[in-house]
Amino acid sequence: MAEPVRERSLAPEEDEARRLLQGVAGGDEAALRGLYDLYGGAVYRFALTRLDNPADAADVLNEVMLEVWRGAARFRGGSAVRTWILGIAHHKTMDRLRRRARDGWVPQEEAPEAAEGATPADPDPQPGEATIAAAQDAALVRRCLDRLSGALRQAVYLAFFEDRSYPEIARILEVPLGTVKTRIFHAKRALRECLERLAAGRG
Amino acid sequence: MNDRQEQARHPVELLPWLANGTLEGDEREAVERHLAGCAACREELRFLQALRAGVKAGWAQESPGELGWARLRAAVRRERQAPEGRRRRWMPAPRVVAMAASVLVVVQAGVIAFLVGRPGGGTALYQPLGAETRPVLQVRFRPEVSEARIRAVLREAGVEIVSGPGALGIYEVAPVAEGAAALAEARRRLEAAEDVVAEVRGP
Repeated sequence: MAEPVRERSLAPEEDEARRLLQGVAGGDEAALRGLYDLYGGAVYRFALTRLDNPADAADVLNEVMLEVWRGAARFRGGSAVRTWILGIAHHKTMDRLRRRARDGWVPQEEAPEAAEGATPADPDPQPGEATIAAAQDAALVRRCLDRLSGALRQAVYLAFFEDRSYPEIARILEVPLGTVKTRIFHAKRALRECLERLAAGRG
Repeated sequence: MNDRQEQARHPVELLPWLANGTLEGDEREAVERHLAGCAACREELRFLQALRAGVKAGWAQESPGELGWARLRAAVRRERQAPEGRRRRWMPAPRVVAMAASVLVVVQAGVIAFLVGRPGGGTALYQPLGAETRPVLQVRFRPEVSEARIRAVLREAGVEIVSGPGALGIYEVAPVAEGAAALAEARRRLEAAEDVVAEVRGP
């Protein structure tokens, strides 16, 4: 049986989002603008982390918000509005990846699970202060994030930029809970190795 | 699991969710109990918290901005105007388009070639939206220019985007102030921003 998804408490944002969604369902453009202001950035960045192309991410944002415009009345309140919208964004992003692969623009991304082993039970060795400092450096972190696969980068985005819980991420990406944990673990390890190299001047 | 077993098993796969503040209930309590007696996991958590800060800073600048909203609004209004639109709910009567004042063509060589090659090419290059009644300028921005630069130039010229971009990357902009003088001044300023604006056409 599916585990119930616990949503992080976002009462003020959620109340506002549901009010706006009702407005959108009634054809109110100003309400759509409100939802765009609330979630446009999240959708754009979410798509960008996977597609690695601002134009494609902007296209996905447009498609997602149009879908919200057309389908606001279909929102049943089973999740937070943010989770619902990011779920739509996931579908649109995957559509675009499939289209890219079909059109032969880029090789289809390897299924991330193929490269993911089990999660080790021990923490990594203690990070040095230089690594801790590098982990807080926006430019260094971006360089390392850019070296991750799209699937791992997207999981990091949801966990550390959007601060989503792992059940929420599993729901957005439609993967098992264990897969979310594994992706974050492997992403974290790769980021740490990358940051250690950069901190030591071996980037 | 008894206390000793719990202490022996490092909860590395749950630490990211403690770092982002979404771990709750029994899992949170168990992880916090473990952390109290495990220096290695406390260090791991410290790295994850630093990484979370770096990720937030690293992606903070990525934004779809106003251009994304202008595009979405254009798409929504196109849907509303479509006689057999997908939305089957209340729609406002579309306002008549003041096309005559704004039959403009923005062209680069590639665009001309594209249009000539289309069935019906040479008719309307860009279909403006129903709600705009002000005279407009059509603008194409240089592809490599950042959205922040574009926004700054538009602000400086005293114009706002009323539609676009179309598939050809063309935006329609209208002066915030009324009158022919404002339009002429806006055009002069846009044309002066050669490093950002590739071409401007208007009445």
